[in-house]
Amino acid sequence: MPIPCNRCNRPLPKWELAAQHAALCPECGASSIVRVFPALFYAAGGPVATETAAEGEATCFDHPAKRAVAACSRCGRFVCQLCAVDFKDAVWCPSCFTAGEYKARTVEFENSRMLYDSTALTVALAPLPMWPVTVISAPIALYVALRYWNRPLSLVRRWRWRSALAAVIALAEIGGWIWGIAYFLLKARAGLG
Amino acid sequence: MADTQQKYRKLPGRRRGFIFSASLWTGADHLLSVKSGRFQEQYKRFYFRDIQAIVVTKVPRFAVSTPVAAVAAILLIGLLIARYNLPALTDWLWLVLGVLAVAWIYISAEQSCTCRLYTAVSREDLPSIHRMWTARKALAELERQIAQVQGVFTEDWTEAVDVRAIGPSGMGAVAGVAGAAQSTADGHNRTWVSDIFVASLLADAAVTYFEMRSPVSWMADVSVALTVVQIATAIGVFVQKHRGRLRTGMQRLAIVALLFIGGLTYAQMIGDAVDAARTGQRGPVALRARPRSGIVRPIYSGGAALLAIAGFVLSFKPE
Repeated sequence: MPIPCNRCNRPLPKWELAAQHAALCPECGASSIVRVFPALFYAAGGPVATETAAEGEATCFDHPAKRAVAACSRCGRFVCQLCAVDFKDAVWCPSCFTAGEYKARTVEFENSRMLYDSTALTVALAPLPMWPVTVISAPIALYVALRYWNRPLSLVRRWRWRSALAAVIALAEIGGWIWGIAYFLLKARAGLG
Repeated sequence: MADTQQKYRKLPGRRRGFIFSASLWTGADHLLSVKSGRFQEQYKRFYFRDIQAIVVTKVPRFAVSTPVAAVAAILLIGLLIARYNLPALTDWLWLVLGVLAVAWIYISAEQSCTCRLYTAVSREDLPSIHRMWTARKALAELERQIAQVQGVFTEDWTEAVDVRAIGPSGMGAVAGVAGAAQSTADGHNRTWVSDIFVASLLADAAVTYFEMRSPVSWMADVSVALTVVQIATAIGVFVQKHRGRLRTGMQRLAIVALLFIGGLTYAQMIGDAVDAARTGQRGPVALRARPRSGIVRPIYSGGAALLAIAGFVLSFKPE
């Protein structure tokens, strides 16, 4: 299938693709903006060629019949063309790469992050309509905000205002509870007296 | 954790849902798609050298984002206040609300779009680009950056495009395999936590129904206890989904249930405040967590029953 319409998934004809700003789908009539880039015409890569090792040549750790082309920058194992993972100007063997050694050095392969600042703020704010729950949620929110204060934030966000706000709200809630309990205790004591 | 931080620049467009949001950022050599579910962000990178095509199609999208909901809520609260305190303002507020509603309908019907990005091995919808004006701006920026890496066409490409397959080869077959793998990775339809969650919804619906017919104080206490169980097990459902033991459907049901419980609590609070204002009562309005009012109770009972039925369907759906 060349380039399909986003709405009906039918291929857009090439005479419509020529009008990049308003390609009309002949099936559903939807108008599309189509941008095609040279990568579409790159030659498809075939299987990686590995060479059989000759007598006396260094061989791959995982494929003893294949000639080694490099050594893992982490553990030093020899790797063949198939096993060599070229990453961050260094060659890695598949074991070190999958073991996550690279994670300590880069964020480029991170695919998710927990947002502790948003969690703390939600735990501090969400129970407010059912305020009795705040007796449990406020200490939890304060704990999450402080415990994870130094954890990296989102890849794209830079400010910790959520954690700070969550801590302030949680402290206010805890203060409210302490004040309320003290007030009722004093009132009860005055009543008894 | 990481000591190297990429510098990202935000592209125009952002999808802000009540729970989920999405945005696009450009790094030095790639496009970063960020999908956020409030407590967690998920990232996908598309390197400029790999992007084959971007298609933006004009389609109607009637999505209610949080800014739209916030504006509507502010106007409705303003109307409620104006009705009792400034009646002259009411007509103007209705006019503003009407104009904004028409504008929202026009933009959703005529100026909305879906955006899809293709590489040799993937086809990705970009939900943050859902308005035509942001799509044009984002495309212009992306085109510039992709052209720096890939260069530009020097001859007509439309003749050759018919013989090139875009996106992952055998898209349908790959999608089928991915779907099967996903269903295994997603976990089960039901666990003991989800069973308690669904059972508590059903029990609460029944208790509230019987409480309407013959009000007994212990029934109200049981209903409150069941609501607490629902909240606790809904949190348990989130945890189990996060650990991969439960599927997404049950998590969505838990979200809807929590919104439903919270929404009705708010509705009752606002209703009580309006009642108090109408009777001329001064001072703070007492919160009534337990005895739900005559209007709210049947809605709660019916809603909880519907959610329980949905829960049963999700639980016993073939895996």
